[in-house]
Amino acid sequence: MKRTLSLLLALLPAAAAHEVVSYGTVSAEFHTDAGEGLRTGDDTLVGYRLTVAGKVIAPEACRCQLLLYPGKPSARVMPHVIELSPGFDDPQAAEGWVKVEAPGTYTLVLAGKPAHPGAFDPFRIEHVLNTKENTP
Amino acid sequence: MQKTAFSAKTLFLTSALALLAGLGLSSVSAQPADLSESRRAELGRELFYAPLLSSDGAVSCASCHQQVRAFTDGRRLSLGAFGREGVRNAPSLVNVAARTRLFWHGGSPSLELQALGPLSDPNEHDFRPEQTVQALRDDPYFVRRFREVFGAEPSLITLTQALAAFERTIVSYNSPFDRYSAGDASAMTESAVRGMDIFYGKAECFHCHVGRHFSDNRSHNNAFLLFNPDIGVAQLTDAEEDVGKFITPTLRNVALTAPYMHAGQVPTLEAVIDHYSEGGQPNPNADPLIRPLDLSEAEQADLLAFLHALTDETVATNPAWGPPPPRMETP
Repeated sequence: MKRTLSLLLALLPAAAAHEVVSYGTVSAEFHTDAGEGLRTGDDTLVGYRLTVAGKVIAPEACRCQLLLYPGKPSARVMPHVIELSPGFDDPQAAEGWVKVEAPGTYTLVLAGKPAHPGAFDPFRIEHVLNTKENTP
Repeated sequence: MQKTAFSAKTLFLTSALALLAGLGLSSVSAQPADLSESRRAELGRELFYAPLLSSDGAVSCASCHQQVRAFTDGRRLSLGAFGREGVRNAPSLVNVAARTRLFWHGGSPSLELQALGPLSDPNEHDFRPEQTVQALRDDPYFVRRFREVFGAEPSLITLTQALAAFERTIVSYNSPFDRYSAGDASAMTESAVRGMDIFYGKAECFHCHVGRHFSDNRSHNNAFLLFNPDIGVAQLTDAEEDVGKFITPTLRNVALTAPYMHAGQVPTLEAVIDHYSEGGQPNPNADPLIRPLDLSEAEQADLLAFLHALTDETVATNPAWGPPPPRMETP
């Protein structure tokens, strides 16, 4: 039974492994088009979908900033500010393109405030990504 | 740029060590008993306005600390010798005697020590300590004045003592807020009173701008910049959590001291209030007290009125802090 379950998990598509990170009542489901990593030397689409108390909210309900730091977030480093637009496949998501040159670990920081006061608490969510070989 | 900053820092530290060593020696030497603080302050006032204490002979303390602007200069970043631009906004000197951590990064515990920073900074007075002392010793008027006040030729120690003595006289507690606090209910407008309630209530500004001086003398990262190349307190500690932290400035006379923040990056008080109302930028070291306040336009206007009520109009006009009378040269 255990072996069957492991096999099934291994065969699940990458999309099913999107990481969900929470801060209070807010949860962000992150995804990238490079299988939960970043391609070096090429554009990677990164995005997120927000839920508040389990209910999906539209991107315009949050004044969000999505930042990418090399390594861990540091006040000594200017992050890449990702320009966001509504998701192409999922209008409830927000997404943007990033391009990293150096292999290694990066951290996405999603910082948000409610567009309408009181809708949810301000949040700051971090999600670590690793680079992947850019294979044709 | 980094090289300049390093050399300025090195020069300051060297000067500071020289001063500390000197102060140590002076503690075992006999000091004339009749040295009064007021006489030191009179001399300090003359030195404060003296451009001879700079490498180009054009920059005095008063160049960046102008009385009409509550001893700031109205510039985003101050200009020093030969028109060189510094890296930080000139802080106000009003009630500076009450401050225990001077400079935006809080690196000096005393006014005497602090004075060495701008004197030796290449982007400010640009004078090495020995040049500063020599310039005073080459001036017969100041040689006489130092003898009158200190009974000795000009030195780095007595120079900073005199400057500090003058700065300690710049005291202001006569704003509408002070009069209101003393019981004059008509001293502040209704809008300013509402603004005071917001200041101490909904906006919770008092956590950092606390007490009579509206400063906690502590350092905070106020989330003004997503990234700040000026690392602030971390210059001294090198600690990651101190990157981008600066000492809380006083709010007294704040309506006279635009532009705002350590780099003068915020042009108006309205913009400052708007920033805090919005909850700041997601700087990794942002103070957790900074959160969206969602102040209405009316609340922002009231808060602004309160900040204006912290202005003591006499600060800009008190002749005791203005340029000294013309020199009385020795016949």
